[in-house]
Amino acid sequence: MAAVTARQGWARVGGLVWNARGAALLLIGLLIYGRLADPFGLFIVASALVLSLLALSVDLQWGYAGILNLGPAAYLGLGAYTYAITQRKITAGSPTYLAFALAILFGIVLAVIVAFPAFKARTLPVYYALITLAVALILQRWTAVSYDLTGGSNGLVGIPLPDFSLPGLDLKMTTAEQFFPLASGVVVAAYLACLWLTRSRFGRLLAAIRDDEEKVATLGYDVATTKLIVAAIAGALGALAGALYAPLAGTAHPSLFGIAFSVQTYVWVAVGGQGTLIGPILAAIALKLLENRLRGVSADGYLMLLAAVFMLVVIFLPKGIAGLFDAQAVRDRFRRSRGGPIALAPVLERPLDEPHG
Amino acid sequence: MADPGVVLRTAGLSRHFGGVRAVDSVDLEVRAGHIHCIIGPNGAGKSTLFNVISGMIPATAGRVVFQEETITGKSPQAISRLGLVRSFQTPRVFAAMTVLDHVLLASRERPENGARRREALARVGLLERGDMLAGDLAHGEKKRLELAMALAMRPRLILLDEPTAGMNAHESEAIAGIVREAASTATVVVIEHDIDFVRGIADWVTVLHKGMVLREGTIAEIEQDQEVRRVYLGDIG
Repeated sequence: MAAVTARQGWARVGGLVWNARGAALLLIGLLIYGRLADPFGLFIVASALVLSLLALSVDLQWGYAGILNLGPAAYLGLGAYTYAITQRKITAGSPTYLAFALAILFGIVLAVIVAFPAFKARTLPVYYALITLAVALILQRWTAVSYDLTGGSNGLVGIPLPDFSLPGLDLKMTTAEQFFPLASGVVVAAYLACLWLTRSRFGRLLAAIRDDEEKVATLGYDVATTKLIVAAIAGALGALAGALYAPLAGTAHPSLFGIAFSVQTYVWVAVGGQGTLIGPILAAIALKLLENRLRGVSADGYLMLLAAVFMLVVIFLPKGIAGLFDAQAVRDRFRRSRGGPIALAPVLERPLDEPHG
Repeated sequence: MADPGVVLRTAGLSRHFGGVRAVDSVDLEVRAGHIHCIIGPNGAGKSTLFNVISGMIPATAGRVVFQEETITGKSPQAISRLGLVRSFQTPRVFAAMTVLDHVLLASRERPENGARRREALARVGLLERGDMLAGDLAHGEKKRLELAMALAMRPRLILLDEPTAGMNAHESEAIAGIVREAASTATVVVIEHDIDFVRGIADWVTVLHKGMVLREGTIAEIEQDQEVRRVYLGDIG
């Protein structure tokens, strides 16, 4: 009995390691890149990593729970401004713990304010999508005209890098290169947390809600509250992205709420692979590096290339680039081509109590 | 004084869509432990009645009482938690989830315990299909899976909307066995068109016509009724 339990325990550890292989590979890749790249490269990848948190938040909502939030940038901007204003007005020169905590808190609060009435009233998904878009645009407009608090359309500049100092321990960041390990660590941790969440019983519930909300409600689950939890987690992730982006870029400006950031995030999720978590992170890094290469040549050329990549992926790879490497999908394709479940269907039509063959 | 043997009662239950009275002042009493069949021509309001009882669409008027509690206006999840569960005419399963995960979701068991979901799968004959994706199941098996999900919730009352739709005679017979077995632990209300199937399982039959209750009785009484024969049974054979 003990041997069986031990074996089950090892199997579970093995399963976890296998599931986390994406995180391990990502971490190794980032460690190698951190050693080899120049400061500008580190800055580019660090900003891609930070923004990939927003992509993770979109993937969690869209890829796993079927919630279409067209204004994810609302949380990016909110997090950025919360960090910037807190560091300027409340905790100037002090460690940045409060700024991060407030950003995450406000992200959750905004998500709940937007999602609660919509989900409880069972608003149609398309209306919810429009509400989220409107919220982002309203916040963009508001920050552009609130000069005293947000610096108006110029935004806020000179935002200090994070400072995680503790009494007797100086952990204040002074260069952008020091930001790279922080961004890497946060993204890998967020990825693992999302992976755990989506593989849990809660994740199974999300998948069911994505497929058929009404059916899930008849199973006794509170669909609105479940979706609200997802929106709140996504809000926290998006605001954390903003709180990390503002000090990295050194500025917070109204365009952070803008449609460009929201669209970019959806492109990353679609190209990387909706419902894969790792795909959007890799797409963020790859497309940000590509953007950096091509922008020097032609800014418009990059946008056209991005649009072309997006269209090709949506048409030919609905599960994105990561879908190509999805072991389950490959197995399914193999099984089908060998006459697996599909070919067996006529046989299974017979009642199961009737002996087969 | 309410009859303690009645598990579900509707009083003057109505649902109108504009000028159409899909369900019109329906008074229904379902007795505990019965298999209660609801029959009637297409458009008689049978599925709408289920939708109103299960909270999926609000009633225009009237009320639904389940186990002495008024459930009119409650959400589908609240009604389901009280022990009133339902299946759908077209099986609604989650294509990318395994059979086992379906009953796991319905039973709310921890993955390491498995008694309830194994029992539910065994009762519908799907125990050996546990690892298959629901999307790969045959139509009849999807209907069984819906039944297994309902059973895994340990309900007091199950509403089954045409459990044999799209099945051959042999499969219908198997479903009849499952429904009879399910009735050992729960009251069952079944909407059904297949009159042979109804004959084999029904303790009590209600005939709906144009949203109203036309007749009630045993299947023998219903089959003898001239009015029922005229509006419904005559049509189907």
